[in-house]
Amino acid sequence: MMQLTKLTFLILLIACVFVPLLHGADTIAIRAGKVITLGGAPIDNGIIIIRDGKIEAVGTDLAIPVEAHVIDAQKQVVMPGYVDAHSSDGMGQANERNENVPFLSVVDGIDPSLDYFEESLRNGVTTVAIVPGNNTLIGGKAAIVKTAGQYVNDMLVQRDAGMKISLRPTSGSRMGHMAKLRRELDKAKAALEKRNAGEKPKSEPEKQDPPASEGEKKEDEKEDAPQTEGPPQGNAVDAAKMAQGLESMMAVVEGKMPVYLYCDTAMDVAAALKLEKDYGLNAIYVLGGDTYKAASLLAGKSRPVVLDRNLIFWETDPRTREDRKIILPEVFRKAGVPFVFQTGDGSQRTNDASSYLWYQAAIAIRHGVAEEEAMRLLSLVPAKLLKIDDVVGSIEPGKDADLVILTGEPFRMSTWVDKTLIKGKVVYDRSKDTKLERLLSPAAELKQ
Amino acid sequence: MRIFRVALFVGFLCGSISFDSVGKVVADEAILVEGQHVVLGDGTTLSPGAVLIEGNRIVAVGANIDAPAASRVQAKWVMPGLVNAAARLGVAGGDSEITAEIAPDFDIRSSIDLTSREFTEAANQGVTTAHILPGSQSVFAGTSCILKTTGQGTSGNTPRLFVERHGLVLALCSDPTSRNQARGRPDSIFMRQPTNRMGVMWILRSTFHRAQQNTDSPGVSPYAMKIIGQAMRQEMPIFTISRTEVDLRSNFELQDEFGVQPILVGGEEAYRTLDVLKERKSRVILSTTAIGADSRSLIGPERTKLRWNVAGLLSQEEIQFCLAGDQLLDQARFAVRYGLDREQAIQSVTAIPAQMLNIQGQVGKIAVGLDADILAFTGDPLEFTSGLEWIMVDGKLSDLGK
Repeated sequence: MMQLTKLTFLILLIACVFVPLLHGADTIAIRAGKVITLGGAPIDNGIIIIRDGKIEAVGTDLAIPVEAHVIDAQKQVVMPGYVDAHSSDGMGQANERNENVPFLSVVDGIDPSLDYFEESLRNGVTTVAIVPGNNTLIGGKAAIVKTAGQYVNDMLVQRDAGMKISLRPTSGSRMGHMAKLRRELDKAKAALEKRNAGEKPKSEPEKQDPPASEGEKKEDEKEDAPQTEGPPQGNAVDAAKMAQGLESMMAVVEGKMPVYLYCDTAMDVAAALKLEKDYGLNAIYVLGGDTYKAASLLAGKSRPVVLDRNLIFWETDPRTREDRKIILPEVFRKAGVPFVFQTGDGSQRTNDASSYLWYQAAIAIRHGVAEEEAMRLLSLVPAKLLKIDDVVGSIEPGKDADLVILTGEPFRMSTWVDKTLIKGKVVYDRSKDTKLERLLSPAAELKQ
Repeated sequence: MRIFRVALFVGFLCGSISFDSVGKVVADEAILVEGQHVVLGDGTTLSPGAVLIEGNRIVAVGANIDAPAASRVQAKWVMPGLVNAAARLGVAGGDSEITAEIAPDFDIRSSIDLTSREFTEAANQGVTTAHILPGSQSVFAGTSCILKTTGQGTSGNTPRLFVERHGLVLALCSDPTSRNQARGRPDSIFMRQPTNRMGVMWILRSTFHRAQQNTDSPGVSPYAMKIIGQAMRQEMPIFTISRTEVDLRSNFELQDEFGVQPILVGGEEAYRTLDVLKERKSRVILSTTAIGADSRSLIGPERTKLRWNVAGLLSQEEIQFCLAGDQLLDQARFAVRYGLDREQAIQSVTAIPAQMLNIQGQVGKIAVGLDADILAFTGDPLEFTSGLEWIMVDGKLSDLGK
């Protein structure tokens, strides 16, 4: 009985203390030394008002609401949270062994407890497109997620954000790989044409639907999908999987679902361009290092390509033995091909700094990209590429309050992420980052 | 940047200096390097500063130098060429001779391919001097050598041997055992020691004993024993590859028992023995600075637990150390990010490694009488956004083939 009263008291106390706090936390004001909005010019001594997770206003002469919790960043720089347009990290395993798995979704593989997410927040990445790895043919569906959360569904910005198709042969020849891919695309195209012609099975309730069904319908279609494919008496689970795969592939050839089209070598670029044209694909080019030789083929594309994680590498001419240093951002910039960066292709990392998105941008600056442009490459450009720039990518009213508070100017060696906010919540605070503290002063951990 | 490059070439044309079609310039006369900032490597930075070079040597350093006859080269930031004290460049066909455990007379020089691309890559990252060690698969691994990474030959980009048979390299780590303990027992065709750390230490001790008493060692040539003797009398430096805390501590035992003064190479877990390292005035060549975001990048060789600010801690304790290994400049940048003092970071990739390699009279600083090994950057060399513009080795300028 005594215990119970104590407990009740405790609950009451917690409620009294925290409920008003939580309520107040819905409105946040940040006083920033500098706000790099990317929506317009940077604002010195700016104020950002955040309400219910969204940016309400940004400017200099803003009245701070009385109920607002104020974050003092007057000596700091605030930027939009970084967006990684393609990563195969964040999952235990980047690829299924089977190479033709359009029915898979990374949502089932994303592990929010992986240190990838923690490290993302520590380095200012707030949104990431998690895409199946490159070691596949049709690798499954990508998802766009925020990097903070306990449960993947809470992190989702967009499920089924695209299909991974890789042109690097998984086994056998390129001829075989391409033939298999075309066969799958043709199958989807035929199914789509059949549906558009109104030849749906009788059990299909959406028979009367016009062919141009919108994205929202997709979910319904998927539920019905098992009935559209094969005899209903067969292996129900397999049929469902197959059907979902076909549905997704139909969305791909319909141009509704984007394709993360991985090109490993220069020759793959030409093949990818042809596929894009032949099947009307909505392609996002994910490029391996060797594709720099085909940069001119991509010139004139308005949509940025995703560059390889290793931005600088060396090659030796097999005949002359001449060594060449390849700097991807320089090559693509000169060819007039817009690009964004990526930090994780799912492969084992060596001890290098390419796992930091800000470092990739710093290398681009080193090789001729203007600093202002490099800032956009960290958030606004990839947000536009992923077509989520209505919610993230810049500090503008109406967008999610995904912000990075830096201790100084971006890209500087001594600049650290001080705080990261996602939807107005502080999800990373350097002053409370005990792991960072231990890494920087291991003596403390030895004394324990 | 382009303007600078044009100015540079015009400068050379006026100074009637020959250059070949690749753009590598061969200078015969005096060159005056004028920098907006000149980092000397001794703790001072001249802003602006100038360096006069005649032949392969630096003949004058100052805020302003009057040398009307010299061809002028302008730069934004200038610093001494980097010295990598534990490199593995151009080693062809394996860096360890795995048929013998006691091989002090094996010379890594014999395995180095001077045409290797790795030298070009290193030079492109600003490394002008590299200490190349034999691999760690044998307890007495062999002798090291020091090279300049570029500046020789008609093309001007061939490396050259700088110091041969520099130091004796010992593997005081578990590497020599790895080959001998497959499936938990010694089953290689060699059937040899060591299979564990005790074996490594036993080989070191027993061999040192024999060298001390001038007795023959079975299977080891008198010449090899002579090299060990030289190293024990400190006529030749000893470099021990040691990474874990226990391996680092074993060095202290050898120090006590045989009076040797090994320079520690690796030092991944040096942060765990700071007090002893300080007390013993140990010198450490840190060969891994963890710089990746991934947690896997915090696991070093031999599964050592890497930490981010090892350099900063060593510096705080005034333990002599330098940075070494791949991406040397990025290591220095990250070391500063993690807490190392700026000037310390510069010196830990230039003057300090030169001192540890006993070549401080030739390289490591911008000072009169030293080799003209100079780097020019587009900005502060410790910033990630700064790029290397040109490098000069032995007074020969290379625009890095751009």
